[in-house]
Amino acid sequence: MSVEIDTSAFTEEAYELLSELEASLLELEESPDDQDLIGRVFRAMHTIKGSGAMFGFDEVAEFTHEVETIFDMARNKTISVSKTLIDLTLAARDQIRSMLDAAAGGEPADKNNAQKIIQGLRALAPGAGGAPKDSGGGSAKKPPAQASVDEPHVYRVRIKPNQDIFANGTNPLLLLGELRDIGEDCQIIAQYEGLPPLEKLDPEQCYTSWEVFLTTKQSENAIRDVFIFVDDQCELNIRLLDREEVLGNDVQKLGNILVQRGDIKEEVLEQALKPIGDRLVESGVVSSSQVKAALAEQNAIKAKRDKKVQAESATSVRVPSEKLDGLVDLVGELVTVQARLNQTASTRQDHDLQLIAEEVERLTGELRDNTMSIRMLAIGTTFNKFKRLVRDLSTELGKQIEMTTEGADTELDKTVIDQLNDPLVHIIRNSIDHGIETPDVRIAHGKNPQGLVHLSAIHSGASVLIRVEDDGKGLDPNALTRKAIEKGHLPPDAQLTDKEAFMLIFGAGFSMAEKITNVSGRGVGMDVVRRSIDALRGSIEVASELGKGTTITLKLPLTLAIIEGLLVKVADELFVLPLAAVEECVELSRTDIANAHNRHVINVRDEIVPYIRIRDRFDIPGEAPEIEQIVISDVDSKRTGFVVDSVIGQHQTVIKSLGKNFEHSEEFSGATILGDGTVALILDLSKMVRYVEAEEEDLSESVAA
Amino acid sequence: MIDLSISDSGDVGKLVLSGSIGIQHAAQLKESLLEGISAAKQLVLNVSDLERADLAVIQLIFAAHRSLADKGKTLSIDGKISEAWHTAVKDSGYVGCLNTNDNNGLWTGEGK
Repeated sequence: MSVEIDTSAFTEEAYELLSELEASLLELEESPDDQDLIGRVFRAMHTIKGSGAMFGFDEVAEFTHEVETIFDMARNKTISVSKTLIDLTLAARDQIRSMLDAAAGGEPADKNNAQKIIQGLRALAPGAGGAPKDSGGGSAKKPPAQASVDEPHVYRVRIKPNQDIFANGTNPLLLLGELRDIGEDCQIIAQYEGLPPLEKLDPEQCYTSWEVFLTTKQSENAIRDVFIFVDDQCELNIRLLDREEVLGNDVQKLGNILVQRGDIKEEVLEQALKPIGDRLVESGVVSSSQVKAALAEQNAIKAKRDKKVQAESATSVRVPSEKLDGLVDLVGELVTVQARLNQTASTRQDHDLQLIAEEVERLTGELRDNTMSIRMLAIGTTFNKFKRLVRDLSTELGKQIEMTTEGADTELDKTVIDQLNDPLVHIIRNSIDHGIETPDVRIAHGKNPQGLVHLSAIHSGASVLIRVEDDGKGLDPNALTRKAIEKGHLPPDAQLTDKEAFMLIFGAGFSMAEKITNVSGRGVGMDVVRRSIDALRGSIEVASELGKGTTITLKLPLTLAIIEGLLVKVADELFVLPLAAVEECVELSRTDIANAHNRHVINVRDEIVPYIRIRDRFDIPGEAPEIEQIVISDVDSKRTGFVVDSVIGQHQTVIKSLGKNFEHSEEFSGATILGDGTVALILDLSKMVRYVEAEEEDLSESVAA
Repeated sequence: MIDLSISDSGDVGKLVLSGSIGIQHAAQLKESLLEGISAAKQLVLNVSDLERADLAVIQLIFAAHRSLADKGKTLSIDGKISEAWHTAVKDSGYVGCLNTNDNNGLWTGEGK
């Protein structure tokens, strides 16, 4: 019979522990004497090992055991924490991760690598070369390695030797000594009730039996092995006392233990255990009402304590993220229905219904905010991953780089955090590879030989700003423009502002690297950054000063499920623009169009702002009104207008995906259902601008040709 | 070595256990104990030079001490209790076996 075990709880916990482990190791590298950190590393390893074995991840458990053994030595100050130890443990952490991935159906983990790590770790043990630690002992019959278990367990060992055991030359005290040797703690209690009076005692007979309480990491088999040569000369009974079901409950009462062991009869126990109240009443010391009052007091305190314990134990709950996704979907539906209810209530002019609708609106709003906050995670865990990245890359590239972080507790939607990993990796890799100079170059420029990468996160309205700053060589806007012209990304006479030139680094296939390294230089990474941030409905801004450093700022929405939008209308079609990008709305009259000679630009307070006519863009039939509206938005750090017939107003937008059939309609990031059941498309402003720019470039090229 | 001597007055029996005493001496030890208990009014035990004792010895001394206690007599100790004795008591699990009747620390398993 096979039993299906749900291992997802273990893997989920293990992944979290591995992140913690990595962070602790990096901290430990900074302060190698910190016993708390060493303890944290040890405990993480220990938990992975213990639960790994429990869930059948034997390979993980065995491998982790080796690492744990070495860290146990560090904990006991037998060895010190060295860079080699940190390196190997980080490698071990990666290996455990590969093992877990492999168990989840990924690529099989490299066994040779595991072996190398183990050998490296063993070499750190004092008197290296052999198996560390458990080679001591002193018992000739060393139990096989597999016999040992992870946690020490408490066993009750009952030994009753035959009376003639001395005649065979066996000394029971030596056996007890061996037992003591395999345990961390060993209490030996002689049972001498069978010992006759001196006159009747045969001095060459053994009348003593024992109960031994042994705390040991060894298995039951290892205990049996001690008695392997006398198993026909004694009765042996071994019982594991700290089984889960025993530990899960309260510690057994003394009376129950005595009954269970057959030392007393249950009736005797019952008599002895008569409630103290009854006994006191019987003896006339107190009255029964006094006892009742005291009992009531006791119960009240107990109830209070139980409540407190319950509250303390329920402070956090682990829930699969799919369940949260489901909840967010339902809240989205509710928001839509609530909009319909509002609309119906106001159309019917029904005062009572309006009151209810308002109440529902308030509750829906609170429910939405609460649900969203459940999905919010601190970005700190992601930051910790990058500390590792910086450490490894700086070693690889021979650079000295310190990474600092700020705002690790800034919260973002889980989905955003998950999708943020790759773009941040690319940005940080670029900073390290292209930004930060080698120590000799930095010294020559009068800089600190150690470069700095600063990663920060901060809330800004409905967005989060994530900044990657470095104090490297900075970007040269002229060189970027030249390179873009050289590669044919720009016309030869292109004139770009510094800001625009910096944005060139996000172009597909654009790289300033003279040589391609493992790290970057293929011109792929930064293009990925732009696409990922677009997909997150975010924006990128680059600031740089030549010789001083570069700052890349990612502006991301707090959530991807519900956004604040601006509802606009073109003919009978409704569209939503993300409100976070909207800066202002201005009127566009036919005179304005004529003044600009039909070019799609408008002068807004002496600033020329280009615009896109949504009516033309989507071929919406019908005549435009006399006065149209331009919604001016910040798109990739450029002000761009979007011309619509009218602006309806702010709208809480529950984003629905367009489905597979419309996945090529890239100018829309989704759709939303309005209160009256109609559908409004959500515009992806950044992509729209890029498509229009590309089309215009093609057009001007074909005209020039 | 097991050496029992009874005082001239016949009141005190002194039993000295020295060196290594084990199962091979058990029969002799039993005889000495019985003789000491019956012949003298008081039994004095000296284990100050005891170097090793095994379970058979522990059983016999315990049985003797218990009989004395049952009879309301005491087992007196002469000289220091050797470490070897304490170790034997501890190793055999006889620590605390005489409860309150152990008024001279013979069964504590550790030196005072």
